[in-house]
Amino acid sequence: MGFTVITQHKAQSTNSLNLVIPFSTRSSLWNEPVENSGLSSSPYGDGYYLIGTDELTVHPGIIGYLYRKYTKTYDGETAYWTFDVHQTMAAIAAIIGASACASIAGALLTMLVFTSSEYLAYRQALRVETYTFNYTYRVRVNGSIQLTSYRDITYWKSYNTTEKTTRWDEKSFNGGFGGSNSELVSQGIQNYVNSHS
Amino acid sequence: MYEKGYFSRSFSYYSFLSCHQYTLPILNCLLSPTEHFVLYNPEGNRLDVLIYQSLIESQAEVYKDGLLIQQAVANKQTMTVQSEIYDLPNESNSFNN
Repeated sequence: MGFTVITQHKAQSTNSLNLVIPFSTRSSLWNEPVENSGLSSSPYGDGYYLIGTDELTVHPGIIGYLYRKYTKTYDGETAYWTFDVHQTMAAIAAIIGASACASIAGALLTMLVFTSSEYLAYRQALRVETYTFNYTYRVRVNGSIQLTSYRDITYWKSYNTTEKTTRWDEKSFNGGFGGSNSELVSQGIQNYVNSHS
Repeated sequence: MYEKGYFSRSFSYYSFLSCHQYTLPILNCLLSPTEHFVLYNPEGNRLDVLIYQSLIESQAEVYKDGLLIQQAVANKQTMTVQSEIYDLPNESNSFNN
């Protein structure tokens, strides 16, 4: 049985949403940047950067802060291509498909400038490099470290040397905390609660 | 050097939507593409890019709103690419048929 929808037209509402909510979870908690650009450094002088904050509904008012720092290793250049003007998208996809980067061919195609007829608009070059990041995490509650963890992740770094655009794509997850960042913070908060109960 | 206005509608941003395997029901070909990407160009056209890989060759097909518009085969041994483009519209090559 379908719904019956009744819509009423009313005067402008006086209700408003407070968009400045302290301790709101930052989007970087879900969409964690590969590097530290856009993140603020930790106030503890430990070289970490704030990824985001979270709290548990069962423990309101207890805020967990997720911090991260990393070291990265350059694993080498994976591929380098120069594509000539008027090259077809199919030809470029086939060339990329013949390389070790086939799994990110779609991502690489988004970095190139095509005409509306799907021909390359002008001569462009793509470079793909591989980096491995060793991330270490700290969850702090009320300033004290409640949890430490790590992740090792290898990324493709794709660079359009003509357009000066860069993108990162995960190549492999090599080990470490497999859950989400929210779970990481949750465990830190739970550790804090357990130690204070 | 180039056709007048050729670059006037060039674009640089695609929406990168998905990447998954897909069984291709055309050309009596039972192979499945190794990669299938769906992109959208700024004009709103859906572009399906299918890549088939073998030890020697990599073949790519580009469908625009379901219609095959380009295909190419890159040979790793000869390092050559055979590319084909198709006129639009041509319903006989429809990706959805």
